[in-house]
Amino acid sequence: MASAAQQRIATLLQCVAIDHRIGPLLVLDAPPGLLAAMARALTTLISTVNDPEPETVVAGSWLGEDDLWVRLRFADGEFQMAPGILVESGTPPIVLVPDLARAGTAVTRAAVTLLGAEIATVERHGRSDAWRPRARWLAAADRYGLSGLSSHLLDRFPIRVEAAEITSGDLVVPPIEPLTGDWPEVTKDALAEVLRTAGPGMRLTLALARTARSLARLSHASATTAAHVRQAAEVMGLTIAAVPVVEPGPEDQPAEPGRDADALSPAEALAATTLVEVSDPDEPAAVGSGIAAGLYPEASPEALPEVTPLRNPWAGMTLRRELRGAKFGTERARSRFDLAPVPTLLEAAKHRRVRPAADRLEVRPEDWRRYRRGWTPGKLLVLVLDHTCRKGWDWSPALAPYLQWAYAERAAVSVVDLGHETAADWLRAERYRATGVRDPRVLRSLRHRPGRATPLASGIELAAQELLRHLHRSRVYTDRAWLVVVTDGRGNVPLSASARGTVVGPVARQGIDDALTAAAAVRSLGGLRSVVVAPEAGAYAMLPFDLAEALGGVVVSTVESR
Amino acid sequence: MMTEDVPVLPFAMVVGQDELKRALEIAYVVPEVKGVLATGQRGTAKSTTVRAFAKMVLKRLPVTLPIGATDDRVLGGWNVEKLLQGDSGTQDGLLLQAQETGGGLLYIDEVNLLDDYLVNIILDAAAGEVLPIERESIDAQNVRVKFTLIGTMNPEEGNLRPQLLDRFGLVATITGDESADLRLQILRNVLDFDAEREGRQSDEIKAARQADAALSAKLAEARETAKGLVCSDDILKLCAKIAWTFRAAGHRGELSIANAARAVAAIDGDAEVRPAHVAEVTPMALVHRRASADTGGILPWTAEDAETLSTLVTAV
Repeated sequence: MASAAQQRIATLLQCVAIDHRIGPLLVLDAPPGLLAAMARALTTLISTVNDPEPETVVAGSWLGEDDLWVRLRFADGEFQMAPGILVESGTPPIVLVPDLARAGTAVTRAAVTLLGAEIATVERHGRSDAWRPRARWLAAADRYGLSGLSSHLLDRFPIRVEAAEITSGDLVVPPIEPLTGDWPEVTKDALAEVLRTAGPGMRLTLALARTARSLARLSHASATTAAHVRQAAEVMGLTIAAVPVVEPGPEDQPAEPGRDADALSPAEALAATTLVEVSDPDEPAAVGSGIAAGLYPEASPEALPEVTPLRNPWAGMTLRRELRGAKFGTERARSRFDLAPVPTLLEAAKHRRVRPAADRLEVRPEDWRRYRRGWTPGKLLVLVLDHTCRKGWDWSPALAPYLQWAYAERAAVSVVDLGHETAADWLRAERYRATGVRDPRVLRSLRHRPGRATPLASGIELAAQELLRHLHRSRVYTDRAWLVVVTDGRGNVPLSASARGTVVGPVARQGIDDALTAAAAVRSLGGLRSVVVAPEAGAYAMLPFDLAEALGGVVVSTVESR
Repeated sequence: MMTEDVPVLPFAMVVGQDELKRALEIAYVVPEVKGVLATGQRGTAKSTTVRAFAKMVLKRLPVTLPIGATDDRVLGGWNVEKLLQGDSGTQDGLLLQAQETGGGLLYIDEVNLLDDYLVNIILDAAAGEVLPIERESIDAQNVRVKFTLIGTMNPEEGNLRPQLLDRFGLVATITGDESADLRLQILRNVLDFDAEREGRQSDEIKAARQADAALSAKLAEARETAKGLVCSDDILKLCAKIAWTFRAAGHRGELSIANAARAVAAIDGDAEVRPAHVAEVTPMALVHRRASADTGGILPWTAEDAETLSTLVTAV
């Protein structure tokens, strides 16, 4: 049976299929395959309302401006300019953004430019195009990544659907019955309900009104009523179901030919069971509910968006040629490394007439153009936090220098949490990769309360894996990494216990020895500096030093401030 | 597609935005004002207002410089389609197109996201009103180019470079603090416009289009009238005094005030420029030029600023 989230997505897809102006759908914490299933379902829905079948294009993080706006195609024995994937020259496509939080600058800038615009233009490489953007965008994102995005960008995605409860990528969307007649007018009460529900943001307000209108049309109603608005708000996750609403008044529920005015359709019946409780019309509850439900993390005071995230980055100084920053423009190349094919061919085409006649386009070294690339995180901070050693100790001052370094260097950050109260398994450490120290999860980690076990060996092993991945196996070159382990060294969970998820027999100091063994794996890594941040020395004061020695690092001992 | 065909909300149906509307009218009536920058939070219909205005006065959308444009399209260059076919030919860039076919308006949406190398090109062209195209074996010296820059930006994405900010004669700051009535009107207008595009005629939209035609004719007339309006010495002294008092950087501030005041007088049908016209345009002309705004940030026009201005104007 379809979950509530699946039903909401299905309903929203039906609405978007009949009115592209509703805007993009953003699903949060979606399982793999859901976005593709949504695209397939939307394709089918659009086809059944007598529109041509749209093409689905993927606006992936790897795409640059040239891919989005202008392409060069080889056809009939010659190169031809062609519109990029976001330029609409025929049937509006479905645009998939697999992860909005990781989308490149080219894609996010395109979203800001296209979504909600009456007209879009492209002026690149001698090509000019203008069109009315009608593409339907479907995007997915990790909830935590969202708070770091530009609120300007997120404003373009007013409709969010929480999809964490969906376990599979399957999606069943009922077909749309043939639509007849005009679009239903929006009643005065419906307009008032929209304003009461949506709060000050005009894009959300319009999205709600248009969704309500589409719901009315899908249910063959002759007018869009306040009940449709409430249904739309519920589908958009803006309201929480409460007490049943009173029967709509005559203006709300106009008589429809051949239909009993008192008989509500299933969709209307759903709407009639929900109500936004708003005591003061100047303080809409809906957005607050949305924020509370985590749909609008950018509105949270804890959101820390990157500074000017939609601006193209400066061209970085590359320490190694393997660096792979985001593409933004091209420049003359002296070698074939990282050659940009389209600008190179265009450069050759410019000189074709003045060169000796040839049957085919001749590309010479002086035509070579390479990509200008932005900066990539060449720095890494791996932070291992043993929460059992905290016990009232304020470790912020001790950690501040490393966090400041990671922020200033825009370092990639991996955090390993162990021994905290809310751990899914107290015998195992947990690791996550953050986009930077501004990621709200990092702040949350720093505030965890101590748990009852200390799987230090598991944490060190995870940190070692993370370091090996970055320093040896990653495509992106990391020239400086810090491993910061905050612990008193008193591990009490052997690695085997962490692996099995259960402790068998007495552990003695096996947990400590396993941590030291795991630590030895990172000792010889080049470009790594390790530090053990230990609380004020007490019993077993040498343990942090043993761990630091195994890591090839030093101990920073602190005076505890409580 | 032709930009004449794109349906745009009539200018008369744009709710609120009084300062931006006035600034656009002023810059259209006296192009020497040199451009308008609309700055405001997301979702405040800045772009819609600019496009609606252009459609009203030009009968087409403005020539638009998208943030991802390449320099060949801004400056002009080889016609790549022809080059790929083994042929040759050049095409005008957007700066020239704005002058030749765009009624002199060049629109940049999200202007603070524009890449720096494009900003440099625009600054160079705007400074000298001459576009020397000497690139990629194209040699076109002393091409005259004159355009009015209209930009919109969301300050959440960072400031404009002070040099580019200074090129805008007027700045309209949009707060988005609409009352419930205004928000209802916005919603109603947008839905009416949606319905019209679905084939349902609306009396409101028809009336708004008639109002647009009348305003367009009035502005065209004012444009002619303004050519004959000059500021008296007293008015010029007032402009200079205001700019000095507010510590405006450079001399573009007083020029913008004087030119904008001429435009207001012409639009209002006055035969001469009066201190009240100067008072009306000063915040728009100076808000971005004060010495404290030299980082590209735009300081709000406060009640104290308004009082200072009022004192200066009433002393004339």
